[in-house]
Amino acid sequence: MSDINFGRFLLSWSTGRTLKVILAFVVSMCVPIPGSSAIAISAQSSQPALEEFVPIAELPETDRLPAAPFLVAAYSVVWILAFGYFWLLSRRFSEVERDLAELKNVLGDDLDAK
Amino acid sequence: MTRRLFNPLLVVAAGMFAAAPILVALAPNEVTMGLVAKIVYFHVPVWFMMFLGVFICGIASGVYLFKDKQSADRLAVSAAELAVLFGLMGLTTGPLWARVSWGLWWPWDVRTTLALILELNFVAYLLLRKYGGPGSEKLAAGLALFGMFNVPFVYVSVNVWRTLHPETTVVPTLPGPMAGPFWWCVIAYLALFLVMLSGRRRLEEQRAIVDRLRLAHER
Repeated sequence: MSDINFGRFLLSWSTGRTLKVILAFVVSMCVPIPGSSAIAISAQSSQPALEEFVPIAELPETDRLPAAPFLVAAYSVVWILAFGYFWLLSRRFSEVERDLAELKNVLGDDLDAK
Repeated sequence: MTRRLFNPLLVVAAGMFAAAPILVALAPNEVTMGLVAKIVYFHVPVWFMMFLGVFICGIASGVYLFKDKQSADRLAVSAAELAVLFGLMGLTTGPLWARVSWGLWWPWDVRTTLALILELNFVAYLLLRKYGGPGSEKLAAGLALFGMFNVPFVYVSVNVWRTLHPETTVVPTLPGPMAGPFWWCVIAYLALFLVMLSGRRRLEEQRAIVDRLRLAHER
């Protein structure tokens, strides 16, 4: 079923129909609806402007986000990335040292053969 | 020099990192943002380290471009990787702070957008180094210089444009009980940065030796 739909989509794309639909959608989004801006402005002006910060401590309990999980998450991210980088660095060191040992062996054999 | 400093720096970084959470926990809460503002103790230092990485990469790239020093290029690529790492830390911790204090994950203001562009600049640098093929080192060096000149714009953007971010005057005016843990964390991250840079640069040197031996073997 999904194959058929995908095939139809490809067919419509190839004939440019989908492109026309997308273009029509984009154009319709850009056309201003008469009066919409006036409604938006009047809605904004009906609300009193905020003049200063409202400290978190003065917010009602329902409007507050618990800070501790975010703080712990931020600290954990830093630790995970730092340890992850050290782990990555040690892996790359192991690879390079293995390559170095192999090359030294091969070059040593060549030198012995000469 | 850097090899001799590696072990002492590692001990200093580990010790300071172990003590940092205790100092941060004991520091007083900021009055308007509360507990979440304690993200400042690692969000700002990681950006300092990101900028440091960018400057080292930019200056080393300049030396490589104009003096053709291979050692400068190895330092540049090491610093670029750290710039991306610390930038990633900053770009992750920032939204976690913003979600609680501003109510949104990402404000798309000038500071955050420029910081994201700076990070992408150095991601592009690393991609260019990895997949650009022969000769991409010089192109990447030019890109690093461009990125370095972006840093002052990122830094002063909060003073020039209207943004949700606090201005640059916040850090110098931190009160004593907050300034102590803050600068402790900055030094801890600096030690961590230097340890990582030293290790990463050593890796590049080892890789250069491998490349030289491969060339000798092929001949």
